Amino acid sequence: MRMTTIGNSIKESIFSIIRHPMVTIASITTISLMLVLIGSFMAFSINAQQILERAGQQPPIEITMEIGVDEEQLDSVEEMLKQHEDVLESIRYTPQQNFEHFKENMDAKDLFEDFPVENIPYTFMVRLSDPDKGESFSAQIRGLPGVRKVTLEQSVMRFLSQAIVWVQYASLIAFIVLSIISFFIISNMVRVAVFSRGEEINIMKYVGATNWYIRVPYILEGALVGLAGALLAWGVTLFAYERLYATLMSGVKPTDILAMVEPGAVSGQLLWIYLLIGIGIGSLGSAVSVRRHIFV
Amino acid sequence: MIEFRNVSMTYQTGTIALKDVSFTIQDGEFVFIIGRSGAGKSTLIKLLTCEEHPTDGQVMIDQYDISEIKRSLVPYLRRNIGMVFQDFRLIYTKTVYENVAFAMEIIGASRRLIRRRVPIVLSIVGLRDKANARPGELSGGEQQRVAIARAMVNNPMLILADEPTGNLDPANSETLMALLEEINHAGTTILICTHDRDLVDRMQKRVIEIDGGCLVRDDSIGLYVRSCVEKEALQTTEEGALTAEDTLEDSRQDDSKKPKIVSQPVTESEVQS
Repeated sequence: MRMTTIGNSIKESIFSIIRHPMVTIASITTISLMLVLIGSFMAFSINAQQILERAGQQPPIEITMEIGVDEEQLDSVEEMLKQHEDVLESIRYTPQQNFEHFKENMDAKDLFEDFPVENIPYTFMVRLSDPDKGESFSAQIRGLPGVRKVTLEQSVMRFLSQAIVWVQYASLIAFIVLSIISFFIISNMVRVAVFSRGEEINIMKYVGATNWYIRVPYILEGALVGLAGALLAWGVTLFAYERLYATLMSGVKPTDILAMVEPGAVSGQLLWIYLLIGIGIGSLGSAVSVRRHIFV
Repeated sequence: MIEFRNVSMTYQTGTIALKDVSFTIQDGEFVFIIGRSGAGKSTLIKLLTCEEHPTDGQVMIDQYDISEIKRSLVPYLRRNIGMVFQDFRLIYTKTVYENVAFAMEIIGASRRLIRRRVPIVLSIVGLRDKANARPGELSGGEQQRVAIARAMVNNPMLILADEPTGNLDPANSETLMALLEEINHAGTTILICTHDRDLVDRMQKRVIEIDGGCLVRDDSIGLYVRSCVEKEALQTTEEGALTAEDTLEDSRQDDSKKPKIVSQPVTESEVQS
């Protein structure tokens, strides 16, 4: 395709957008709405993913030994943890260390001055390479002599893990439903444009315009509408996310486990996805519509 | 060369448009296709532009059977055919210049070539000074000249005109025919479907008559009405009116009725370019 032809196609597509402002606005709004919804689900997913990762980096498994366990049993458990392929790191805490840690978390430290340390058990804090293997690991450890209980702090992780899956399903359903709606609205927009320019298209055919020459401006029109919808949705999502971030994150350190992902990091990801989906659906909807309505 | 070989055409509705039509048109000929409404004239044009395909027979252009042409090649065929319609079919949102340039843009001509050729073509049809006017501001005759400029701007080998004078008064019809004749002298084949009896008789060109889908007459220098029966019918229905031959005789004697070329002079620089 020559430069002149490309220039003409771009010019024609812009004229067509201007010629039917209401239809164009309706199309842009629908695409934006779809993208904002998808973006909301995505923003939640990105945040849940971050929390999950951070939670995975915490020592989620605590092994509590029997009170008065002998040294041999302790060494045996410690050796087993060192040898275990899924264990990334394990730390042994003495009763004294546990007592100190307990006191640090209490306001009235004087109350525990005479507390018998021998009533506090040995513990192991374990970090696994894959947090998902927590359940099977726990089952193995529970059977060892001297082990009283194994605590898995995975309820939050399990919730987040499931939430991500559900959010992804919801995103997918929303994406499909809204894509179909956007697709039909854009198809309709192009149909209106094609019918309003029916005479011109006929003349183009008689003069010898190829199918592509006639169709490209409409496909470009759809792509431009998709682009406008994507940018609008991006602006709206970013604005809303920044507001939410400012409200929920006041007084929270960005490094905290439940801290939200910073708006700057979210905006980049959303922009590319919005552009891809917006332009993709816009041009695809137009292409299908012009293919149906324009025959040389 | 255009050749119809035993062409028959029946529409999906069952209407028979053409029945076993055969004729040949040589390059550079000027031919009138005449016949009553519904006789099959427009179908003949549609077959040449590949809007329709014959149900039987072959339509050949330069030994190439266009009845079997691939759909993707149709635009390239049409680039060699200029079309002129009764209702002009101009784009009313574009200026005269843009309407003509549009035909060149579509085939991918460079802006430089468009800027050079469109003014020349507008000069030939006598509309150079109206280049920036919109078709709605022009008379019917002027609009039809814009259509001719658009049809000829890509130097087609063939110009097809479907009732080009249908919306024009006699004076404008004369002008238009003179223009088409001038284009024909430059080597372009002209094929005109018309009802305009006076025009056909005056031009003295080849006449192909279609009636009920059949080719009933092919005269090298023909008149619109030929048979005695038809002449009598004409004389009785138009009491006091001149016969076709009389009209022709008058036109030969009266110089004022001869087609006049209205072209604006092309400047020397335009000719050189």
